[in-house]
Amino acid sequence: MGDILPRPTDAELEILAVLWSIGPATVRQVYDVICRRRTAQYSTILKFMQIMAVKGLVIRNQDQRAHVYAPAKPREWTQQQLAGHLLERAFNGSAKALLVGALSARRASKEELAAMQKLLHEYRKEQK
Amino acid sequence: MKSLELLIANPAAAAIGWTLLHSLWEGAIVAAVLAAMLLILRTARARYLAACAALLVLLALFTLTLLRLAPESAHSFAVKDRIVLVGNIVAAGVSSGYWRPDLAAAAPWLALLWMAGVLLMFARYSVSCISVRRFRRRGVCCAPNAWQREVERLTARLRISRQVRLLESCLAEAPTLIGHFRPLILMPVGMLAGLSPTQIESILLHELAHIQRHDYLINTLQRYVEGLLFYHPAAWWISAVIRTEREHCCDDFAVSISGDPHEYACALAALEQNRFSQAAVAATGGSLVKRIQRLLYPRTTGAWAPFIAVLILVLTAAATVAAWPSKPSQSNAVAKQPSTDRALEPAYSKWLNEDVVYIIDQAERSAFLALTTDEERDKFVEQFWERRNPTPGAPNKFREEHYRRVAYTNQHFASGVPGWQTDRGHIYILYGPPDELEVHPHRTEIWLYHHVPGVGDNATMVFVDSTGKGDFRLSPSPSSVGKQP
Repeated sequence: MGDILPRPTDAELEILAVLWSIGPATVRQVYDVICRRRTAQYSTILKFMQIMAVKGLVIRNQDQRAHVYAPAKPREWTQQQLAGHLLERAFNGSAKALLVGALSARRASKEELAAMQKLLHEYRKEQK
Repeated sequence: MKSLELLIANPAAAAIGWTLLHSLWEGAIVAAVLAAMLLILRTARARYLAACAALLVLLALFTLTLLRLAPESAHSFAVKDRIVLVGNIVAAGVSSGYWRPDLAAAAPWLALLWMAGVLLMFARYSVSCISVRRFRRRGVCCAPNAWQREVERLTARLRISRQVRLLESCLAEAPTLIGHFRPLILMPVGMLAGLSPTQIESILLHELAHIQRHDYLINTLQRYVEGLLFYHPAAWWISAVIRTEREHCCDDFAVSISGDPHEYACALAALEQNRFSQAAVAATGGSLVKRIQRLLYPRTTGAWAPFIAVLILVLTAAATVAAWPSKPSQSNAVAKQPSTDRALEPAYSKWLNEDVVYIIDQAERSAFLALTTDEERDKFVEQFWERRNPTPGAPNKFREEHYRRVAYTNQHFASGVPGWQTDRGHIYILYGPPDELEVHPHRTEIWLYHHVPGVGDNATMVFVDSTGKGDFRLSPSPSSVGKQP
């Protein structure tokens, strides 16, 4: 638990997002995904990912000829790191009021999750 | 402090204050009617429309009330607050026996609080806009091609003309829609891989339904209304109903196309489970549980619902009718005064609002306004002067002196406004020429009265002409007025 990772910068967060989305990938694969959204330089992405490997944000697997990078921490962990930041919390909190989405801004509690599962379970039983 | 006083003295402040007070009962009625309708209406669409209409009605009533009060209260409050401005000398005369004058005094302050609140709400709104912009960019990546094409296919099927983009975001905790003109669906990163394709499709349908129904835009407008009516519990309640029913509408839409409520409910439950919950606050009756219940077990109207609805409507109507006759005499009284004013012949209006404005007391004023014929008014004026006549029966010295003072102020103190309306004019008409007068070169006049009835001995008033244009204002310096007896 003693490993303190630095907060990823915006550019690093983008690369992490790709890695979480498609799983461990080479620089080329990450570059391809990012290019679909915006123009980017292959060399820049490569540079970023090398720095991230040094920082410990990603793990480099050198078994194959092309290096494969994997996120060092799961998405939830990083999200929690970010959410713990005071400014981040303020921003996310105020943004929620303006967004619409499938779920309400308020998180469900453990009891509610249990109640939902129970409802679904009972429904399944009835249908059988 | 001076600028604050001026703000309070502004007639618009009083009008806003009264509008706020009136909107409380207006909102209560609107909310009661909506509650009754919600008992009868069953489809999410109808309930949503009813709630939207209720919020609009609330806003319309607020605006109408404000428009109705704005020009009318202008005069009475302008006069009233000038009196407050002049060192509270006359304020002692306003009886506090009624609650009405207290409310009238509170109204401008309410307006001030309201404006501060609205500013705060809109500041918060601006911060939200900035964070939403960040949300669009930060930590996002393109979703897999297959899903992009799926979104395109569904968009075409729903006949949405705007181009919808699908991105994965590591900041979004749940599927989220951003933007009206350039709609963007954000999926939590990894979720597309974590749920079954049919579940994801139903979630996408939910988000696309939001786009088709222009929910993002409507939600933004709703925020504006909330910001304006932030003090009103009814506004918040109606807004919450709109939000809930909006989700129900999209749920229904998604289920109607995908055809499987159970699968969709599972998808929602999985989404909620997916959200990392750090410290889940214990709460009961969460909206998602209700939504799932509603999806799985569509409820039909209870047989009693219409009766309760009718009962609520009847009670509301009864309460409204019961409040009607008392309203003009109570809460509306101050607002109504000027409207009666306006019906007065110009001569009487001038007498009331110009000639004797500083010396007539609240009770006399109300009594005069309650009169209906000109004969009564003539008689009232006659009696008004006679009551103040130092030698009853003989020629009225008081009246002569009064009109002399008014004429004097108009000759000597006029500066942009007629002399009687200036601070010096006000004091001169009330107390006559000062016993001692110091005129300073720095545009300052100090008036000393040896004795002012009802105020005290050796009252000093300092008038400062800060603009240099002869507009002397009573300065609220500590030496202004002696202690009240």
